[in-house]
Amino acid sequence: MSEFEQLRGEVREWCAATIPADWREQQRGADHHQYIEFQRWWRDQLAAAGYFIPHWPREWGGSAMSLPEQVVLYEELSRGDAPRLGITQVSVFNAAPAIMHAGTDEQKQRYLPLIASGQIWCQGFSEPNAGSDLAGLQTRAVRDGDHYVVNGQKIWTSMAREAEQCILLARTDPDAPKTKGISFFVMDMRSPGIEVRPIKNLVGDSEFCETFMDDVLIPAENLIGPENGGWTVSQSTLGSERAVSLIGLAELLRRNGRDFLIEVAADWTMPDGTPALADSGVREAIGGLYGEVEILRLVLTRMVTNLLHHGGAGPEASVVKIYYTELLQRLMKFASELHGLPGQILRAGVPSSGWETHDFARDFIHSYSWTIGGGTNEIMRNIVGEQVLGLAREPRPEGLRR
Amino acid sequence: MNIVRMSAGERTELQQTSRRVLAERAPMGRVRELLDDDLGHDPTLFSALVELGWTGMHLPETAGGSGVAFADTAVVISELGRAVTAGPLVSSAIIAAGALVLSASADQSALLLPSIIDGSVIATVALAGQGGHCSAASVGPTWRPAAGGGITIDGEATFVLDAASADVMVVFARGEGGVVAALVDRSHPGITVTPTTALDQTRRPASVRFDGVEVSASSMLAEPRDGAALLAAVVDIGATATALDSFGIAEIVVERTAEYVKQRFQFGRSIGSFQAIKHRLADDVLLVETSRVAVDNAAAAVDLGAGMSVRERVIAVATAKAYVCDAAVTICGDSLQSHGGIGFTWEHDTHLYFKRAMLNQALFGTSRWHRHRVADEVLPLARSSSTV
Amino acid sequence: MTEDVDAFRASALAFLTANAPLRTNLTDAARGVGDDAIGLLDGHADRTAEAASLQRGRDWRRHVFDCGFGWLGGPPALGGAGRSPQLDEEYRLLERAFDVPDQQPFATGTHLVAPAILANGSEDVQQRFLPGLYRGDLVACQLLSEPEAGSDLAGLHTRAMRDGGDWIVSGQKVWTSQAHLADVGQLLARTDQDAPKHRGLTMFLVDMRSPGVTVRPLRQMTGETHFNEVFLDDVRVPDANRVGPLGSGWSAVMATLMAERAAVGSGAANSAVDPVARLIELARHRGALDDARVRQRLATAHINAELRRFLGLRLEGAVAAGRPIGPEGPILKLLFAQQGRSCGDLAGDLLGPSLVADTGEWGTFAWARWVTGAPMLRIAGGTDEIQRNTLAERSLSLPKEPQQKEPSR
Repeated sequence: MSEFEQLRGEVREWCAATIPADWREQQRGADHHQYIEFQRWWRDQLAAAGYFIPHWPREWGGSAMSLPEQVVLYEELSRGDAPRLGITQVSVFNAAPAIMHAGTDEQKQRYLPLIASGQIWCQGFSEPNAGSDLAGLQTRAVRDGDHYVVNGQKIWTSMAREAEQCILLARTDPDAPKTKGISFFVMDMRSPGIEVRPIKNLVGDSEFCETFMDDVLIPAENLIGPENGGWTVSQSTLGSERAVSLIGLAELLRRNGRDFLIEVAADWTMPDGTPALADSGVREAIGGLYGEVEILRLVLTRMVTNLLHHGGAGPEASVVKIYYTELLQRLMKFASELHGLPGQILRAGVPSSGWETHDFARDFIHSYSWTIGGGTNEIMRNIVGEQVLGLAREPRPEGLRR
Repeated sequence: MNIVRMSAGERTELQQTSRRVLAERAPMGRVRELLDDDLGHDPTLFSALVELGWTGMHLPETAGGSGVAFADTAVVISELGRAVTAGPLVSSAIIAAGALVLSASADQSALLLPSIIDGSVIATVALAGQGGHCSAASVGPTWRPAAGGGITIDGEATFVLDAASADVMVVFARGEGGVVAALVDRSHPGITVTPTTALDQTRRPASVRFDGVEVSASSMLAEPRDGAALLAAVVDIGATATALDSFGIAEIVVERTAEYVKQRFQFGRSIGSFQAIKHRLADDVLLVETSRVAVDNAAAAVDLGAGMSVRERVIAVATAKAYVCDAAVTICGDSLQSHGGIGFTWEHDTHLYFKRAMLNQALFGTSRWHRHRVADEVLPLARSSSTV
Repeated sequence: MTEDVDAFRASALAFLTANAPLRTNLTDAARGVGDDAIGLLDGHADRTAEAASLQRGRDWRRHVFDCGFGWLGGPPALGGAGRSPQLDEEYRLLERAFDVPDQQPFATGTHLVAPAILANGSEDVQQRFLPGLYRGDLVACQLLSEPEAGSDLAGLHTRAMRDGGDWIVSGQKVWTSQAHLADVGQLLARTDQDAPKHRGLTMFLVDMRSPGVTVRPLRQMTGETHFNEVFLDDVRVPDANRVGPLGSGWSAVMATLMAERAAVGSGAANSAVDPVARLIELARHRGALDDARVRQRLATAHINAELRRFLGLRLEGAVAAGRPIGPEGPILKLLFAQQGRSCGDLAGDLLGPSLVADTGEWGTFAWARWVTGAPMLRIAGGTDEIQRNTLAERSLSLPKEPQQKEPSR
């Protein structure tokens, strides 16, 4: 598409000029504070170039890029080995779409400029007893005059320590069927009664938190959409834009996973000193993985193309999610096992690096956050079976509210 | 050599006692405290295990041990894996001591084995080269002849477990003429121990550098003519002990995961009732049961003095090492997936098992290498050069 | 009762040595020599050959029985030797080493049907059927699964309605092995339409030569017709052939299903020819033995076969000692099914086109029968999915799936 060649060239040049060549080494072992600082810096660079909220209308500070243009942008960013911008995932891709779809004009005026300026938001959805079964959430919001009083606990809230706002799902009608008694709020994270506790994950990072709410007051004008209509509002966070931003994943897996493995494995030897890559078992395995990464690129491209033409990321997105996450896991597992003992040496992570940190053993373990997060692969398989193939859903036990 | 086999009842009792001792003295809380500890293990635990006779269990009665079959001592090794216990017991009393029993002269044995048994001396084995491989061609340290019939050792051994705690090392070295093995005192000035931090923080590997370390003839354990055979036998002891460690992990992870999915409710029912979860666990039970017979077989093969050919031993040990260590990693990954988000936290124990299983997979030979070893024994024609 | 097993073995060996030649080890057979067949189910070229083989098998079996080795654990009143059941297993293992006429057709009767009759049948039923099943006078088949009732066997529809001193049976059964050879069929039918699923079933023994019994062979993708459909059109079955009280059919068939699990670990669930040895030979012939990935896969196949063997030994030991069977049953079935698949895959990789088109070369196209037979292992005798359910529910006590109320038919 020659119409986008200019954009492609611009982004490419911008990446070369802006992304420090050694940012990974600079960021290796960064603590949480350093990570946030680097993330803010990167966000500001993107914002200055108009790449931060490219899909937003100009009236809200965006660049009004069409979906095909966004595709080009994300492809080039990943080709340029850009850092992964994590701190504004929730604000840009979860909060903003919900507010744009279901918010009043006043709410849009209030919140969208804050998000456009780079404000950090967090997401208060999951609870200890409401993971895959999110609709079972128990956090309560009780109307009292012009406020709601909120009590409960959320988990897996990323960036909760830095966030200024939180999109919160809470139960406003305990007697209604499960999904029909939930409301969607914007909660100011500086409100009294909120306690945030970081959770250390198994590779030592503390991106996620538990969030406790003890009689937190949320003004009624922070309710997004109708009371008890929150479930529907939350569904709108899974938008086309989010899916499009994933186009870079294949490129990253290719370059920092597969091709990086081939590059470093060239120096690895078998016990007798012959190259590991001369072992035909190893060759066959890499040959297989090579092709599977190519397939990932093709399948992601096809998904995005369908998006562009038909709009909406359908259940095919679940197929892609399963395929990508399990390919990532298989590739990292293979690489880790091939690396053997040297691969077991503990190295500090590179927090802004996404899923491929050039450390195969760590990346293998970390890959489980993807087979679990964003909807477990078991749930994804249910969706594929039910929505793609029309298979019957599991029957619910008698007497349970839907 | 008189090998005493326990009855089934005695084995069960040994397992129960071991499990109780470790639960009291090395519970998970203590394991976690030691993760960041410099020494990396609890010397009082080590003393307690010495008191219980664990260091001497399978060593010869002539040296002060109990002469129990390795196949029964295996119970204790698995329990240590199950409890992800840190400490030099296996390195010293199983692997290094095993090397001594196979190769040491009467004088050397008399000097060292009783001390290993009473815990006053901790020993370990140094052999791997760059890349962590442990075949004869990839031994790390090198040797050259020295005056008076001894040797001089240079070079580096990598991933030496418990090197920092060790008083004595059984060092394998490669040179013209072949592989040799020697007893080296850790305090020798030419030895530098540099800790290697592993993903698995319950173990303490280190690189050990040798700069002109002289070894007298009386400290030699194996000359070039029998060094390679000794190396293979010691690697097999290490591989079997590692497979036993992974078996202990595999068993407990399946147990704990089953418990979790039974009591975790989503969508109005226990998630263990969903077939995706249930079938994954069923496959893991299959892996545990097949691993059980595999490690039992390997432990029997390793039994010092067992009348088994080298070929049979290699097949039994390599089979267990490859299969059981792979199985444990699979089971840990499945466990992580079945636990969902909570399994991904540092606070949850899943990652401790997972990381230990991953290190085991690579220690004393990768699964790929061990499968090549089996292939070399069971297939006619060419040996794969990578197993030399 | 303590048995002198060593003395028994000596006497059994003496009998066998005097009456049959030793079996030559098929795995030692040189390449290119003899039959290259490597299927998963023993099959016959045609039904004539099959009938002749059955007669030879019968003659041998009768001889064994009449010499006292046919039913060691059975009560003397029923023709047994009144000794420990462990000895039947011992005898079977010893007989495996000898080249005797094929005994497989009798296994259904002795290993699957007899346990149900022993557990549930009246003295009269036991008298009339057990000696025949053990002596080889009666060949049995199983009339259990139906088109609508496979994994969910209790959902079967075949009806038995009372008519005087008889029952009139109508329905359709499927997957019945050797129905065309059988004298008697072990039937599970619904005798009470109104009772809950599992409680309205009763077990009968049906004379397969009765009017109304139609056997239609089912051709499977290996080309053979090991299985059959059996149509029952108003078949008259005397009440005297009922096995156990009315409505006890489910617990009666449980004895059969339990016995089937135990049988899986015994030599019954093994292919006659060692596939791993054949694969090694094939790889050598194709010059693939120094290919590292072939070596890895062969080593893996060898390892898995050895682990199966160890587990099987463990199971045999438990059965012989009368200990309850743990998870070994479902595990062995799952492993056997996996072996079917993985050996087939490796054969395919080594053979390429020779797998699917017969070039006449020894030991190549023969693998096609293995490959097309392998999927059956994951389905027959309890699907892989059912095996995993069993494994997890018994070994780990995981909860069963919640039962859904069935829509009324």
